[in-house]
Amino acid sequence: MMKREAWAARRPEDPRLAGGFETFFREEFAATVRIANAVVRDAHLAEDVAQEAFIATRRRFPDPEQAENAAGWLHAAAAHLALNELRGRRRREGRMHHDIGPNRADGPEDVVVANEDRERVRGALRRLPRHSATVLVLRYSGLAYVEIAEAMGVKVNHVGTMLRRAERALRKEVEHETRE
Amino acid sequence: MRHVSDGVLRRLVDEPDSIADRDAEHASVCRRCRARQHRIATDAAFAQRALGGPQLLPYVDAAWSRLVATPTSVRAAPTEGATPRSWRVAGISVSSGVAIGAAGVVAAGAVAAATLTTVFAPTHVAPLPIATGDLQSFVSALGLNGPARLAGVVSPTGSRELSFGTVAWHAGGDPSTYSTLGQAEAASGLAVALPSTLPSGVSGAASYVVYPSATATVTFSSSDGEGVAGSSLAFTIGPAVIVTYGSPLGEGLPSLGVVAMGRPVATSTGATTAQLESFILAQPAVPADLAQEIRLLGNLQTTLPVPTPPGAAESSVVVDGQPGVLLAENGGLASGVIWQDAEGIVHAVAGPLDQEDVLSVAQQIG
Repeated sequence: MMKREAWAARRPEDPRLAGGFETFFREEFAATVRIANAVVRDAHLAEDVAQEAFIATRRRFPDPEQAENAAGWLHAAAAHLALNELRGRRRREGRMHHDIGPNRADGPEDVVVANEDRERVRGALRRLPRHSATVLVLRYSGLAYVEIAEAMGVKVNHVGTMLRRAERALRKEVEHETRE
Repeated sequence: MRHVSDGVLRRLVDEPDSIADRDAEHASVCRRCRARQHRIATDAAFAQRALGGPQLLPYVDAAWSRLVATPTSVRAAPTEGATPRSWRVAGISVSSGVAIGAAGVVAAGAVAAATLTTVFAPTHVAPLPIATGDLQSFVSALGLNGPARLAGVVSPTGSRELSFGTVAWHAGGDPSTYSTLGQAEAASGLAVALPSTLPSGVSGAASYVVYPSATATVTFSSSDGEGVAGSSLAFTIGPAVIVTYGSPLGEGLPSLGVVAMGRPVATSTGATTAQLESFILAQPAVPADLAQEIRLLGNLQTTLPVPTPPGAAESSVVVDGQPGVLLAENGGLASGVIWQDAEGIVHAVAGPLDQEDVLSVAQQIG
C-alpha cells in the first residue's frame, strides 16, 4: 500500500494509464491474446478477452513493475475469462440449437481436424476441472513451465504432473464423446 | 532403482534441458520409464493437435488505444477461485462438509502413509480423484482403516493382521474438548489461526477439540517383495485441533469447521519409496485406476493426496501462496478447502457453505 501511495503521489495523472502499465501491456499483450485464443479460437473474441484481463489487472496492479507477479496474475485471469466465455457461449448456443452430433466413424486421433471436431475439444475443455483446463490453456498458448507455475501459484516441479494429468483427462473426455 | 515421476517425464517432452541428468539418463535406459514416457508423449501430442494452432500477432498499438479509451469501472474479472456464485447456503448438518474436508485429510494421510518411505514430509496438497468404494477397499486392504481413524475417531491403541504383515497403532490419548482457543493451543502445541470475519450463518466459536498425535506402524512379512520384506513403516499423524462453530439457527447445529494438523511424517526401516509404491500399488485389492492416479501425483515424499470423491467438484486454489484443493459437494450443500502452509501445518476449512465463503475463511487464516 505504501508503495502504491508513494508512486501515485509522484504521478498525479491516473496511474492506471501511466507509463509502467503501458510497457507491461506492450510486453504481455500478444501472450495474453494467445492464451485467450487457445480457448475461444476467434481472433476478435480473443482480443476482447485479453482486454478484459488487462482491465482487471490494472485495477489490481496499477504499477505492475512494482508487483511481484502481475504477469502471472494476468495470464491466469486471461485463461479463466476465456474459459468463462466458453461456458457462457455454450449456454447461449444451447438456447438456440442443439449440438451437432459427433461422427461415429472418427477415432480420437482424427478428432481435431474439422470444425465439428474442434467443437468436441471445446466441449471436453468445458467439462474438465478448472485447474486442468487452465494448465492446458497456458501450456498450449506457449507459456514455459516457470510461467505456468507463476500463473497458477504452484511450484514449477508440480507443473509437469498437473499437465500430465490434464492431458490424460482431455484425451479421455474426447474419446468418451467420440464414442457416444 | 528409483523411477522417474510422470511429472518429470512430462517435462522431459517439453523442456529436456530442465531435467536433472540422472533422471534423463534413467528415463533413457529404463524400460518401464520409457514405456510410461511413450504414453505421456502420446497424450501430449494429442493435446497439441487439439489445442495448438496458428499463433496470432495482434496489433498492439490499436489494442492499447482501446484500453486507454476503456473506463476503468467495468465489471470485475473473475479470477482463480472466484467462480460465479452458484452455491447456495444450506442449513444442513456440517457433517457432509467436514466429511469432505477433514476426512479427506485423514484418509489422505492413510494413502500417503501407505506409499511413502524413509521420510515422508509433505510440503503441499494435491487432488487424488477416487471413487468412494475404491478408497474404502484400498484403505481396508492395507489394514489402515484402524490408523486412518486415529485422528481421534477411534480406539487409541490396537493391532491387526494384514495379508502382508501386521499393523499396530497407538494414539497419545483421547481427544479433549477445551473452552478456549488458548487452552487448545497449549494442549496441542499448535498455533491456530481463526478467521476474524465469519460468513453469514456462522456464529461464534462453539468448541475446541484437540486430538493427540498418533502413530501407525506397518511391519511387512518376510515373504513380501524385494526391499519391502521384513521392513517396517511408521506413520505419525497429528496432533490436530478442530474448531467447530455454531449456528444461530440452533444449538448444536455446526456451521463451520476449522482444522489445523501437524505435518504428517512417515519413516521406513529400509524399503525405498519406489519399492513401497510398487509393492502397495500392486496389491490385488488396489484398483488399477486408483494406482495410476497415485502414480500421477508425482513425488509422493512431498505430496499429500487429498481424495476427491465423485460427488465433489474439485478445483485448485492458492492460499497464502501455497497450493490448495477446493472441494464442493455437487449439490451445492457443502464445500471445503485443504492446504498445507509453508511450515508444513495442514489446514482445512469446511462447512455447509458456498465456495466463496470457505475460501474467504481460508484466506483469513492463511
